[in-house]
Amino acid sequence: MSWASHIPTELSVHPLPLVVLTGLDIRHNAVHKEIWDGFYSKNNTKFRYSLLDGDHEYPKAKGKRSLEVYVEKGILKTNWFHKHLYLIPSLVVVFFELDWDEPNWKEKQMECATKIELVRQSLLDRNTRIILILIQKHPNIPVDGDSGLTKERYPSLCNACSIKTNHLFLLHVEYLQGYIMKLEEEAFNEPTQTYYNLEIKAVKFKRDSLIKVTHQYLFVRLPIKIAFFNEMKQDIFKAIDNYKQAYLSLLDIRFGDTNTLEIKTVAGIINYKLCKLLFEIKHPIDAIEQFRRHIDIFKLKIGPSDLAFEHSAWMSKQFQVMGELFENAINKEYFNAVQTQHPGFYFHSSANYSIQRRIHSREILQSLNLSNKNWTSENPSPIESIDKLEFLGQRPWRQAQKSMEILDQLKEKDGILCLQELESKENLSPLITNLFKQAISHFKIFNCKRMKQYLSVCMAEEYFYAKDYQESLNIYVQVLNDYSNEHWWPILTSIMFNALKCAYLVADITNYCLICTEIIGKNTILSNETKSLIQKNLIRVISNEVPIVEYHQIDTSIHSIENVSQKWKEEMAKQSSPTMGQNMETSQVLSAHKLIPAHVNGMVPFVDCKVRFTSTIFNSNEYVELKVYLRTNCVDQIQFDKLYVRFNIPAYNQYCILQNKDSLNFEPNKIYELDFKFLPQSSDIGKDLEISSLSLEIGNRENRVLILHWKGDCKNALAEENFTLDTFKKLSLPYRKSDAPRELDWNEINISPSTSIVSRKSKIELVLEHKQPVIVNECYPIKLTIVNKEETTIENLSLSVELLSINSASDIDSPISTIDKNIARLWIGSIDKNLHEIGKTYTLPNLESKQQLTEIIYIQMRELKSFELSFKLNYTNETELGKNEDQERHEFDTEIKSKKIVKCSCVQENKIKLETINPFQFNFKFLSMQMGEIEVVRFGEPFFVLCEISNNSAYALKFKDSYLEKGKLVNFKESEENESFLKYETLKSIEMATECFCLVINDDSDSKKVPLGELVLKWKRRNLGSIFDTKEIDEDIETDSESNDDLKQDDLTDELIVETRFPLPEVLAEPFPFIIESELPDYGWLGKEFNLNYKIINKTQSVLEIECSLSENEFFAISGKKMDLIQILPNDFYNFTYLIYPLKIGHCKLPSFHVKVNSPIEISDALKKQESQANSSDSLDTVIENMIPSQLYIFPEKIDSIFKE
Amino acid sequence: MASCIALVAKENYPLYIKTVISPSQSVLSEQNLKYWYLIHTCLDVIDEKLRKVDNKDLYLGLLYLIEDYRIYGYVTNTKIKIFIVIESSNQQFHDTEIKIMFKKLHAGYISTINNPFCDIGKTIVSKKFEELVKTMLQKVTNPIMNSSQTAILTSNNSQQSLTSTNSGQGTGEYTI
Repeated sequence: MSWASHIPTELSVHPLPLVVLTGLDIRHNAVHKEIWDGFYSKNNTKFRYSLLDGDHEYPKAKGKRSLEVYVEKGILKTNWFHKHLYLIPSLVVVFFELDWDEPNWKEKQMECATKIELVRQSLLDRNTRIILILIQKHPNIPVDGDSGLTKERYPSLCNACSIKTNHLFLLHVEYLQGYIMKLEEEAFNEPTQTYYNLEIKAVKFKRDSLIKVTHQYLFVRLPIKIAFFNEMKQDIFKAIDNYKQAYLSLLDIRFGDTNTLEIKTVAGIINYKLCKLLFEIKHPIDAIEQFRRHIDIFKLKIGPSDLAFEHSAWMSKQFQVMGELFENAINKEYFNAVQTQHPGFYFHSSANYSIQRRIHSREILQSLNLSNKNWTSENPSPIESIDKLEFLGQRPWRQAQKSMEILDQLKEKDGILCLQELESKENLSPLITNLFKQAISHFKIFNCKRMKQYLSVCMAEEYFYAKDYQESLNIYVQVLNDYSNEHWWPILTSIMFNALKCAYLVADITNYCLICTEIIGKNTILSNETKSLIQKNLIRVISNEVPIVEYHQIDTSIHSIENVSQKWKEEMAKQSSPTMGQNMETSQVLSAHKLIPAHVNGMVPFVDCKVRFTSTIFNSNEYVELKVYLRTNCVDQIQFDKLYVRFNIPAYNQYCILQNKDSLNFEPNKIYELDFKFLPQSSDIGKDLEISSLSLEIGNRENRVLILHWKGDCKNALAEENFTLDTFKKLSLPYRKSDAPRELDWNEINISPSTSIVSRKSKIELVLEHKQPVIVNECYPIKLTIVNKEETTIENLSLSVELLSINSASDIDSPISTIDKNIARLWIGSIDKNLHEIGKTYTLPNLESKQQLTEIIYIQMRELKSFELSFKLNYTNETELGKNEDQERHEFDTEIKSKKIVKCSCVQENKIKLETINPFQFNFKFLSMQMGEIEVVRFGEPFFVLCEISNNSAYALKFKDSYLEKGKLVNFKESEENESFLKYETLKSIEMATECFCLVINDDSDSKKVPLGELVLKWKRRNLGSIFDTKEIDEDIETDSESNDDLKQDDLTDELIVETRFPLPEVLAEPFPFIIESELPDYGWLGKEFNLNYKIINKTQSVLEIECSLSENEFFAISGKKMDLIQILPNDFYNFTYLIYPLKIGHCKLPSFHVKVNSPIEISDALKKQESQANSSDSLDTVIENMIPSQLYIFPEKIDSIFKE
Repeated sequence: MASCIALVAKENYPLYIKTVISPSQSVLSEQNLKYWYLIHTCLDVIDEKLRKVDNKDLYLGLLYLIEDYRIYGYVTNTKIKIFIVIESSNQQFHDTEIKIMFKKLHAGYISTINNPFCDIGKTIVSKKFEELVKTMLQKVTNPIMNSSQTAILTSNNSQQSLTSTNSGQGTGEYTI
């Protein structure tokens, strides 16, 4: 039906100025061919080239006619665009082979002039420009002026050909491409532009003299011409303006039955141009707005009602071309489309109008009998010239008329009849499906999956209409799944109903059955009668009978159903023919044909199914109980043939097969509960039992079987409607329950598709005795008592103990990993300190019933860390089969007549969490020999280390020994006896003990931090509670009475003694030039003289010159050298001896002894510097004060006599 | 005014769809289905809009401008989608008018589910809501048919609600 929805193909061509090339003989002349190819083959975007002979006849220009006598025949001529695109050139190029040094110049010049004249003659009255191009062989000859020959011949040639000098160009064959480019730029552009400007000017002149009343059509035609010429010269904005003007003028024309189509056709063309150009200048919104306006204006201009389909066709075409223009614009990346505005919408609308067109034409055709007139050459058909119209959109039988009335009614009637006949032959389906496909592809891009589905459905309907049932069915099946997920039932119902028709018509047994299973369910909105009939048909198909066509409400007037039942018979025969089952392969294929699996995950069948294990845990010695609930929601009663459940452990599959026909005959909307039970295998203890699938079969295996197949956890789309407020629903349940307490509510059945098989609950008692917390490093004993509370003997008893660390950051209840062997140790029975183990399994002897067993476990933890201890007891014993006592079921007791004895294994696991604490807190002090606290010690000078050890734990701790493991650079002072003060001592909670060592640091030159060594303590916990029987309790009573020391010594030999090492802090030691050792009595008597001796030892490697002085004071009278300058050799010493006489009693300050180092000079400087820099405490005097005693106690004389007595 | 009003649940299944199509016509009639498809396809746009912007405004504006219809959308805070379909041949409505309609429908929906007997997530059955929707739906164009048609409308009210035929429970009894 091209006449009504005609958009001339010329419109889609991009308008370019037409340039005609003449004088090229491409057939015989290779050079000419090359030139032509150079112009033509180039991807030209500037000009359209055409190769014509020099004597070509161009369309003749019409003579100037007076507007007064002009009669309007139509709006726009059909061939106008074509003429100006392809026929009338804006420029004619004449090629001529001529060199400047041509010997026969005169003749050649004449020949050339003739050629040009010929062209000029055929373009008489046209504004077409002509240029001459000389093809020259010798490019070396300069073009401009300097050769006399050129200078002379150039103007002469122009003159002879009567062309302007700037219209003569040269072309050298050697540099063809370059010349072509240059020519296009310089030579062609200007004349073509001039041509179109002149044309526009002429049309404008004509337009200005139009009269509004009489020249309505011209008011449209002329702006279109101007616009098109503007387009030719690439002036798009002006073109748009003129097209708009034409469009407005077009709307001024009065519409009537005679001219509606003409106006619409022209409007379509203008609109097409406008949209195309607006897209090109990247104004998509304007383009869309223009199109909408266009549609709004013409939507209701239907025209003659007998040709209503014509209007739909036109509308469809409008949308289609708009879609194509839009698509094209996007492809050229002028702009991007968006989800709500893209070509898909236009294709969709176009398809809809095409469907409407078909509806209209069908309506019209039904009411009319097609004339069977035979149109002959004598009596030509009124529409014979339909493809050769002079004006666009006119009726072929009344062309070139501008009358608003129909003059020849009979002819009109015939004409319309012919058009209708022509329409009836059209097959629109390919067009429509194609439009849908285009629309779908666009909607896909913009993520519109539902729109895509909808369009697919439309397409399927179209295929159905076109009787391509197979294709239709394929599409339906594809979209069914998408729609069923969304629960839009009316949509789903209509799709399924149509799909079922298709399946019936193509005799597709599998799909037929599958669709039936869904369509007879409760959600579809079909009447019960229909559902019942469909169900009957389903049963028929399964029992190999042809379904009854009447049930499908197929419009037999359109769709032929004659061969369908034959097709069904063939299909069924093909699949059930037994003769073909001879070879194995085909028989397998055949049996596969017979089985129709319906996976419920993707559909909503007419059966609801829920599966439930009655418990989340089953002991290994009891029956696993499984309940299957089924409810059909079809209209009629239905008979199933087989039900079976599959598990993740296939061994149990055999227990859950039901083939009893009576229990599988279901009334609609009733809940049926089916029970299965089976005994778990002992090898599956600890495993999870899950239902992997459940299948329900209809039909016997001889004919055909439909299997409903639930997978996974039976996520039947119906079982859970995925409602948001589940909790709310659950809350409201009790109310409903009270209404009908006896009835099983489907919604209340919980699905529990998995369970765990666990070992039987053990009856063994594990008692753990210990005294928390654990002290770091101790051998912590735990007493285990295992009591057998089973009826029978326990065999294969084994104990495994494991130490697990607790990750404090995360959940405390979940021990993550085992502990490093270096941190913790574990022993069972006795301590073997060479063993490093943290987990072990011990085999224990069999236990009679009620017998008990005791074990002690020791744990040593070397770090402050809490941990978990897991005890696991594994054993086997013989036990009776049955339910747990608390879940007694009589039905089972009756079934199992003889009590079964089962050997089963049990596990008992106890876990304890243990905290550790540090037993001791250490505090250290460094003391000088004068008991002053010091921070710095000097090499070679003895000092004390005082260790204060306090017991931090809540228990009394007993020491076996303590000693110092001295560092390499440290020595005990010879005189000191290093006996442990702590030996055999007991330190109670919070108590503190002191250990003291006198040390000397070996000589060295540089000051540094010296590690002193490690304090080693050997100890144990004194009281371990009830673990070690009564002895400990006695000890508790004893407290710390000294008298029992011996007994404790024995005690301390035992294996529980542990060693704790504590590194002493480092001390800063520095060198000093000398050491003073004092020698004086511990006390003095008043009035009794005694010797005071200071021994100065030179610690340097040079001679030390020092100045010593002893200052007097009130407490003592002194005799001796009060001041002396002495020199001491390296490592030698000097003694200062004084005789002093106490004058007072009590604590008397000794005369102070001063030393001043004079040489070596560096030492004296260093000391001076130190003195001046630092505080007074660091002065030499204070240092000396620390070396020698400052006070002496003087007893009165009297007491002395008393002592003597 | 409007020719179809629809409420769609958060999970995109229909809660309520009412069209101007005479209730005497089957639910599966082409006209009726067309509205269903229309609403259903609009969910694409809603999905996209909700994904793109963190919309503070519940009113989503014009969703589709399909040739014959304008479809406006509105999403409540609980992601219940409300649609109003207006035939393009009808007068143009201002955005504020449409917004007011949506506000009314939203309020109507809230008061419906405030009913303690209302089954949330199921098809909406409420006389009050029905009344509200009726005022918004276009009056039957044929003036002669008008009186008789409205009579049918009221009498068939509970049956007209599409899914009520299969919702199983005794719906239609609750009123607020």
